[in-house]
Amino acid sequence: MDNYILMNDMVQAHEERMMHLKRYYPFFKLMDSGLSQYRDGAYERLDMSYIVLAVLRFFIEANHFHDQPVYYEDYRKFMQSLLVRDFDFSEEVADDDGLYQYIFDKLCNEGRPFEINYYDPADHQQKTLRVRLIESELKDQKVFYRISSDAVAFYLDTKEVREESHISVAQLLLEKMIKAQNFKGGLEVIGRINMEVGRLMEERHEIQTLLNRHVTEGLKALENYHDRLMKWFSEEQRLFASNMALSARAVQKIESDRITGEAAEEVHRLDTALKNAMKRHEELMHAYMQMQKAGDEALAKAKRTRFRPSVDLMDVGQRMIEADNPELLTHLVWPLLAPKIRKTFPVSRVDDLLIYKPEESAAGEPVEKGREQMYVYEDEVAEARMKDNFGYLLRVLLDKLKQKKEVTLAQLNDLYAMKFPDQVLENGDYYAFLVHLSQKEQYDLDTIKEHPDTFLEETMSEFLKANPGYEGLRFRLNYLPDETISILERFEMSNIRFERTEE
Amino acid sequence: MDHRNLDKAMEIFACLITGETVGKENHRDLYDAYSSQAEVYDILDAVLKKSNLRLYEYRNTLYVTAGDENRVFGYTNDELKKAIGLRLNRELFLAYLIIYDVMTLFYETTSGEAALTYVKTDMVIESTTSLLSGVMARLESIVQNDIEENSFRTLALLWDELPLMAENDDISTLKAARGSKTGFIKLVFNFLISQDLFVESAGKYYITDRMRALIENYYDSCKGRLYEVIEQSRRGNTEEDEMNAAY
Repeated sequence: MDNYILMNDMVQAHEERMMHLKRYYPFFKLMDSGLSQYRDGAYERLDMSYIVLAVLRFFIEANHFHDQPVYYEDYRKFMQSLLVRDFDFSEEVADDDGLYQYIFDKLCNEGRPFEINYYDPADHQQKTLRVRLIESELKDQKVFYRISSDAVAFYLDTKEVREESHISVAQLLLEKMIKAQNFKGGLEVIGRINMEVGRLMEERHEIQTLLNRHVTEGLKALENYHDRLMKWFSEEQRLFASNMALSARAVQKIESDRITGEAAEEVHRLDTALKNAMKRHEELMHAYMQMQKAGDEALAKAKRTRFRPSVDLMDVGQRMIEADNPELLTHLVWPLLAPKIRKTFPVSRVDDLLIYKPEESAAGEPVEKGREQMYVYEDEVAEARMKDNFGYLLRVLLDKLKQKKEVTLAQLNDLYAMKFPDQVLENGDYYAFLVHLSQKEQYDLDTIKEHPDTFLEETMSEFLKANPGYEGLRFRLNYLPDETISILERFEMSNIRFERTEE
Repeated sequence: MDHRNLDKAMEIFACLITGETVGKENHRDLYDAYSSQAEVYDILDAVLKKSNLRLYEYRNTLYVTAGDENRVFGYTNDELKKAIGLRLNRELFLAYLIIYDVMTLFYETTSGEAALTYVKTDMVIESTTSLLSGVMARLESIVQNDIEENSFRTLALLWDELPLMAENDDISTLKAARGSKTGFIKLVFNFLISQDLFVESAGKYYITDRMRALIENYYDSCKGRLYEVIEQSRRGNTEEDEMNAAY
């Protein structure tokens, strides 16, 4: 009999023991390799065992307590604060994405599961166990990460005592806490219950994924899950109910004794937390029922497709290489591509031009609150500048005409060049002035002052009103096309004679 | 035939060929119509067959791909060269080989579980190098002629000549280009992303459900044809060798 027990423990239970041990493997493997290989051991002092446990705890917090996935950026921020807080890194040194990526790759084992090979004496064969710490998923083209159930179980194992059901043990502990009126401690225990429920939820999620890929392994895992969950569930529910009663009694006592302050708050918090924990526990059961249905469906589907042959891609590749024809690869690659869409321009779209209403399609400009201010447009600025410049040019012309009966453009240019900076003859406004001036053949300043006709006359009128002394002045423009003036050896123009007229 | 069903089927068809996903997560009403109404399923099936497109269902989502020699929805080599950013045929075949290599990193057989969750450029460089070094050694004894345009040895030489990284290139800011192994892999990866087969996150490349759906389903249904094409090519080679030997 003794021999039977001994053999059973050694041989039959070996697989189970290895299954239990596998969750410890990644931790020791990571601890062993550490960071000595990274950048010639520059970060060797960072203790990998602490980092692994801290990151796992961070994932549990996000995934199980807040029901949130973790994105790489979240992990990065967490690590950055950890290095600054616990390893006295400065903010600048801690801003090293390479290091975070390296650690993350290590935690994910470069995308592969950690593998443990062992010999199963019951089956007389070598077997492989696979375990991951962090799982990745794709949603809406973004990758997010979740902690695996093995990693949660490992994390719980590092402190809690492993018993039949974490939840039942915690419940008993909670009962003691409530009876001893240690409500704060009770809250912590509920936190642990939530963690365990979260782990079971995560395990359910993994079994679901496994069912999609490997029906037989998935069903095996489901059966195991069922055994554990059902064995404990009724007991857990009973304990929940008794703890709820205890908690309700505590709340009642607080209310009847009219106790307020921190103690009362703790009792209420405990009561709410316990109700939430119970709700989560029921949700777990519901989700499990759903999964059982999915398991049945997966099994039926697997039966249907059982005899479908699968393709050995490695073999196909080798055959192609032996055929030495790389073009054969097209048969492997083309099926992966999305259907090609050739876009053409429909002629009927031309009609859109006629009914095109830009107002409808244009996005409205957001109106910001503020006080309306005088707004000067660019053309107004240019106009003011031209009027100013025209005033200077006009004054020289009119002064000269007052002194002399006539003056030519060539003389006028010299005068301008003398009175104003050299660039005056390159100034656009000067030429604009000449063009405007040439619009009429004669000018009567008195009439212009009262009834300006053109843009230049308007400028003249303003000028005359501001500068008296030109009353009665009239002049005429005589074009001299035979005489050409050269300006700065670059421009050429016909000469003009400005003549003062008496009538 | 109910016109509403025809409408639904055509709507699904339009979504699928324009690259939108139809499933429980996206366009749920269309997916429900497909899975619960036989007529919608039949019409869609008929339209897809006539268009030489293949439909796959994976984790409650539908995926479509062009069937063999589909002249309308399939690509030609030249179009693919343009889409990936390549010029020569041998470069295109090298890109195909890299895609095949990526497939085998995730899947050894089409029914196998993808144990690997992501790849990085250096992993693919390593495995492509080892795949091609095997080719070089193996082909020494087989290929007696001068190097042909269409041979795996050409690909091996092309790969061998590429430097690991282009000069003045930093790994963090590395550009996709034909001039280096890393750049070449990036070109291929960018193409896979554009085809919704890959998703990139912090330098890691994850395969999408679309790629899983196609790998796990397509080749199985075309297994016979795939092996036939390969065997034909092998027979062709052997006959040619015999002819050469006779001369």
